Amino acid sequence: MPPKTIPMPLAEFELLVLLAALRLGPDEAYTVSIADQIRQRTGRSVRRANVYTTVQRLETKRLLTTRLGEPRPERGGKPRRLVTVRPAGVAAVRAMTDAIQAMAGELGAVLGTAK
Amino acid sequence: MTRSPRWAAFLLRALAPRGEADDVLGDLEEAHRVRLQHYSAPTACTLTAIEAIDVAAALIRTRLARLRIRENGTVHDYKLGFRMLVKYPGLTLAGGLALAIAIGIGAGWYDAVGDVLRPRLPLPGGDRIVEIEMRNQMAGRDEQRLLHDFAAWRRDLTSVEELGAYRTVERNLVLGDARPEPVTVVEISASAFRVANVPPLAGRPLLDSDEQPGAAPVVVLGHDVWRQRFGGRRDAIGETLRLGQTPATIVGVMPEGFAFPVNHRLWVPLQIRQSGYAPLEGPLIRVFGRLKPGITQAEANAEVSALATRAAADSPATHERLRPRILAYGGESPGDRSWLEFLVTHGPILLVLVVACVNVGTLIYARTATRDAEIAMRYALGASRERIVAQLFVEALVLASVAAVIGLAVADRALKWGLTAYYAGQDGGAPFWVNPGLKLSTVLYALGLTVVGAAVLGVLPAIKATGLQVQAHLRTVGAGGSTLRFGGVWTTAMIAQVALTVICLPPAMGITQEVRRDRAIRSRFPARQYLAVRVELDRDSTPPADQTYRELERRVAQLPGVVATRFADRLPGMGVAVRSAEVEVSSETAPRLVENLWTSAVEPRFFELFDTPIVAGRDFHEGDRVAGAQTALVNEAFARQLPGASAIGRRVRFASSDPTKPEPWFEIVGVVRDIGMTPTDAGEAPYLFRAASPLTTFPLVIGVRVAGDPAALAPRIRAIAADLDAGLRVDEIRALDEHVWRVELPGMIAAGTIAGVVGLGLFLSAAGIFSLMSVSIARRRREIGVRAALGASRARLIAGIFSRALILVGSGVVAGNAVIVFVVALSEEARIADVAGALLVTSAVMLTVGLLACVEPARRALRIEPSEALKEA
Repeated sequence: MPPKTIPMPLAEFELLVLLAALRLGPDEAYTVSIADQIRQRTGRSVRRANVYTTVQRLETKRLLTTRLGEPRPERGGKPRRLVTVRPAGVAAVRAMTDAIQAMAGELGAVLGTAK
Repeated sequence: MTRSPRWAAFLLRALAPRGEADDVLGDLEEAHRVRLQHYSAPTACTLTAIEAIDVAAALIRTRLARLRIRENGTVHDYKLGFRMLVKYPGLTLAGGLALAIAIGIGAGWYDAVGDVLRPRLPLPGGDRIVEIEMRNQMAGRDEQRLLHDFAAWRRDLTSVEELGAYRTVERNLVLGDARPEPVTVVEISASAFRVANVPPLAGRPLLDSDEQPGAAPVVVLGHDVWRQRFGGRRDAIGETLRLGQTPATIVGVMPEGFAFPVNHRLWVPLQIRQSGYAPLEGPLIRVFGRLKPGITQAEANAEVSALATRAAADSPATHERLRPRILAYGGESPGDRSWLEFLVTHGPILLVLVVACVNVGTLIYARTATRDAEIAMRYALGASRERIVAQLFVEALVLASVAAVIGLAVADRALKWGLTAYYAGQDGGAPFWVNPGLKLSTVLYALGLTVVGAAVLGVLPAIKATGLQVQAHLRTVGAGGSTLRFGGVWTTAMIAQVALTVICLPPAMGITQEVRRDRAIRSRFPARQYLAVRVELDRDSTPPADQTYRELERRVAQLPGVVATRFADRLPGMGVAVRSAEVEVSSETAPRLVENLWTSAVEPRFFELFDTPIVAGRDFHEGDRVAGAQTALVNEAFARQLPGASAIGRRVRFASSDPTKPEPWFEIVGVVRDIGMTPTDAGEAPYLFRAASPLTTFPLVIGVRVAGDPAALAPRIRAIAADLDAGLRVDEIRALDEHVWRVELPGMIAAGTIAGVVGLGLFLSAAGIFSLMSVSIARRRREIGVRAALGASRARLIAGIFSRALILVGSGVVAGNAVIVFVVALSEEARIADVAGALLVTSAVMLTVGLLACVEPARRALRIEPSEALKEA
């Protein structure tokens, strides 16, 4: 069986941002929560500035969209920019994870992940 | 407080690209809110601000990365442009040199003309300061006896305020018992300080009350004088110094750099007689003021002209030919800034750039012709015509930019050197508004020239190269050779260039020969044995001036090493003093006009100083110096211009600007041998010498003949003058050969410049012919190969190759010579026989250059292998 074609190649951090956004959902995914999500799940330090620029880049690639949410309740509060992953983004994530699974699936013993 | 600090938001808005800051501010506030749960408020604020900077930097990086992707094409064009400079070193050198010279000249001219026409005064509101100049239309010179008019303008002129006047005088500055030193002082209206609008560093400026007759004499010091003579002491104010014989109280010190009205460092009040002055009476002054708010220079000119009309009606005898003008201060521009003024002053110089661009455009077109296969392929692969033209423009822009940098650097150095050298010989140095070196506006102007130049020399060939023939050339790309041709425009441009070079060659050769000849003649005169000492005595000095001068001459003559001394108003070789004169030939015929007659006032036995004998008649004696004696000596060159026998006894008078008031006659009493310091095309210049008395001679120069080093005497002569009289000033002491060098320098610079320009013209002509032949060989590669295969001899091939170059160069030579012959035929002074030799030489030079430029293309053509060429076909 020929390998599946990856719709849009993703960098590692782009994949993490998309996964975090999918986990949080369209009403809770914004830069701060995405950074926290990645930090909590992977344990790696994340600069929010990198999240901003990665979101911009993914938006340029048409893998996600952003919109301004409701303004914060206090006086003069600013709205958050919420992230929604587009179907193309979902497809890109799926393709990447499939590819990783396909490559890593039989290497459990080697990688030390066999159960 | 859960909102992010305002300054974090401010930082983000200031740093992040426009429109992107607001997008992330909400997230930043959210992060700040979370942070406040873990840190104190100040720490959280600091961390949020740092994050704001971090985010802004990240956004900028992203924006730049996007731009880089978009600009990659243009960046690539620039890289290609630089590679082209290296790949075609001949074109880079020739084209770069031509453009550097053209842009350098254009920028230097713009800078210099800006200073001359409308200098930018470093004073508050300096562009509103004006000068009123009075032009004598009949005499063709400025009239400065303006005290009468100054009073009228002060009374009636409404468009200019704070009207003031000044005159520059030389005085000896005496501080205590120190030796007097000559200084330049300006007598000036107190309004000058209000016009300049610069407050004093200490004390006060001059006041209107200081100008009143009987007011206590006061002086305002310049910063340099204050620091050097008074050690920068604040308590110097109130002290007294002497200017010549006059004591003056120091009332103020002006700040560093202040030198209004020109280059002055000492200001004293200009005192004007209360009873007024008759028209054209009184000392020479210059008048300045400030345009009233809302008034233009043109309006002020109109008003002052109307006043002049009234003055002419009141005093026709003195004012009928006088025309006042209001000029930008320190400049020569009579009107408001306009495009017409710009075109008139810069148009001719810009033509140089156009000529250079056409020349270099020819070379670039030739280079483009060798790349037409590449252009055609890119066109076929989808590159738009605009894209290809833009690439060729950028390549030209790179060449023009490199040339502009070099041209500007050279122009900057040349201006600095030229202005410094020019003002070094003038009293007081450069005016305060002159700042040697290129101004920012000049650099921007040069930038414009560079872009326009690149457009001319890059876009035009590019449009031509990407025209219809590109499609046609696609069919022949594989076959080798070039389809681009030098069309009518380029061929005409090259013929015009050759013609222009031919036209410029004879004058360049003539000027160079003239300068060399003059230098050779002057070098025979032992100028380094002489010292020229310019002296002046204050009018109010005691004892009588004549006695003081005599005593000075006597004491100088007694110095060891001094051979002899004589008074005159100038020594031979000290610059131009030329007038026109009429010589009485006979009682029946009209006087004969002698133009360009050099004049000098000398004392008796002046010529002994130079071992120059009187060859006819007699020398001056004391009786010739009394008023009304009206005798003159002439040199042999003058005598040769007179028909008939001796010049002795003939009468001569200077030409008068007013026919109703002829100048008085002088009787020629002697003829002196030519000294040989004023060479002309017709030998020595004609000279007329008048008998001089120290009291009536200005400037007064003592010629000192020295056995040894003249420079060593300078301090001793100054010491003698200082001991003799506080009012006696030694304004200048220079060896005569220094004066001679100053006289020769402009000619040498002019000759060098013209020789350089003509040399460049020759070089560009050769490069153009080389380009033409290279393109021609490339185009005819197959034809040459076929002809060689069919047995054509090398001689026939070469003749075929050279014929077009010969036609081109020959056309240019014929056209250039035709212009010269036409001009000579129109001229009354020159004959065609005089220039025939020069025409032959220039034609031979041009043809030789043209043929040399064909050598390499011819060798290239002969190296074509017939079999290879046939394969390509």
